Amino acid sequence: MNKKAGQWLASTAGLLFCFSVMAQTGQDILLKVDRNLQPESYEMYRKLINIEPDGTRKEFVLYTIKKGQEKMIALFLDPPSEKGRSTLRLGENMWLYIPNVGKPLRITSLQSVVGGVFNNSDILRLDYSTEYNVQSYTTEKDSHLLELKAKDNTVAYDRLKMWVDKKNMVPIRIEAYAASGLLIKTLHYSKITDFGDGIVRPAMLQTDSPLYKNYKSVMLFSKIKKRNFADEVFTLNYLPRVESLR
Amino acid sequence: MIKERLTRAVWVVSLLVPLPVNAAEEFSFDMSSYEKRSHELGGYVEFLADRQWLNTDSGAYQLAEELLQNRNIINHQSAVIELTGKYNRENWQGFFNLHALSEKDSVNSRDEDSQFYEAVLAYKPDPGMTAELGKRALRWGKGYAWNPVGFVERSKNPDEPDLSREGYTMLVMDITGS
Repeated sequence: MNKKAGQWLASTAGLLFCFSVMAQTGQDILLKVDRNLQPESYEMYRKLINIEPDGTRKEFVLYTIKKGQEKMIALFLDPPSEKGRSTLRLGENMWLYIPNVGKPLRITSLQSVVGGVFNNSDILRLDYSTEYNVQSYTTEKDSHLLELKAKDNTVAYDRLKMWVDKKNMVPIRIEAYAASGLLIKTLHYSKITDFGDGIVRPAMLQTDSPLYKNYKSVMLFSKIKKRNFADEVFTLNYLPRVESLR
Repeated sequence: MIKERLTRAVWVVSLLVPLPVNAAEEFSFDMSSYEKRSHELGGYVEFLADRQWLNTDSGAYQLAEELLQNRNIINHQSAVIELTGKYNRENWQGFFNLHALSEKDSVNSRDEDSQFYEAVLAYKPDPGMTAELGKRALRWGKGYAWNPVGFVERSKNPDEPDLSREGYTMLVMDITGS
């Protein structure tokens, strides 16, 4: 009896060990993906293009800065009607500053300050490992497939399926699902580019969603650079002055 | 002969069939237009001409009849120029908003006015400290026509609440520490 119990314990421990090794490996891949996509603290420029079913385009240019795990700001540079607007993210909290309003307004992750398929959590995206845990991990021919689960219910998407390019260790395709299992959107990373200082990552992100049929949004990345910022920058009072950091 | 006709037909059909919208969709991002400059200038010019037909039987007309000099039509013309500018040099920044207006209607004589709505010199030695001196328009609130806590701002024009408004002369210090 004791021998059987011992065997059972040993096999359970072995199984748990296997799972922990697998989760660890998946988590390591996710951490590597985050570091390859962007340094922990950086600045960059982005162009967002929203394309409607009739072909109409609306373009926005954003100057973006990030510090650590959960502080991020995006400042609108173009179009002129939006110039000077800025958005701040501190963890799960987000604000929008409009120069003509003066007082920053609270916004949510599923709203969109630019319209289109990208929502605020896509525009002010923190590291994937900050918001998600790796649930399972499989290896395919040229890619790893990570199944990610949101750490809590404040995260915009409950589950992500992420295909990671083995060669460059950056995502090539991400499917975002709601808690009900509904596919909310698919993100496609492409155009792997050397941005200098060891940053080699996709320069283009395209998204489409079954919820917005025939709509498409594109994000183009430029001038991604490591840079440190003071904590005071990531405050509501500083939003009118973000432009001076450029 | 048949082959030639077939090739021609394929060519015609291929020219008639529209290409999918995103067949050759290419996106580009030219950063040169967004490089930071030491100075920026902007603004707009607006000309407006309108004619109002007055209801001479209304009570409001009876009350203002003398003022309206028995007119039943009023013609109005206005021109607005607004110029904004910014200049950055190291820790210093200056910016202004110049507003000039000229208007005339059949009842009133020409009215002209030009003034700086904003003219500020700012000193920003580090992200934790900013000092500003000059005429500045502070904004407080998203109310469409009225902001109950907008104590230091001029009242909005309810017809055009988004118009820029004249500021007040002030010294503003902002110190944030962590």
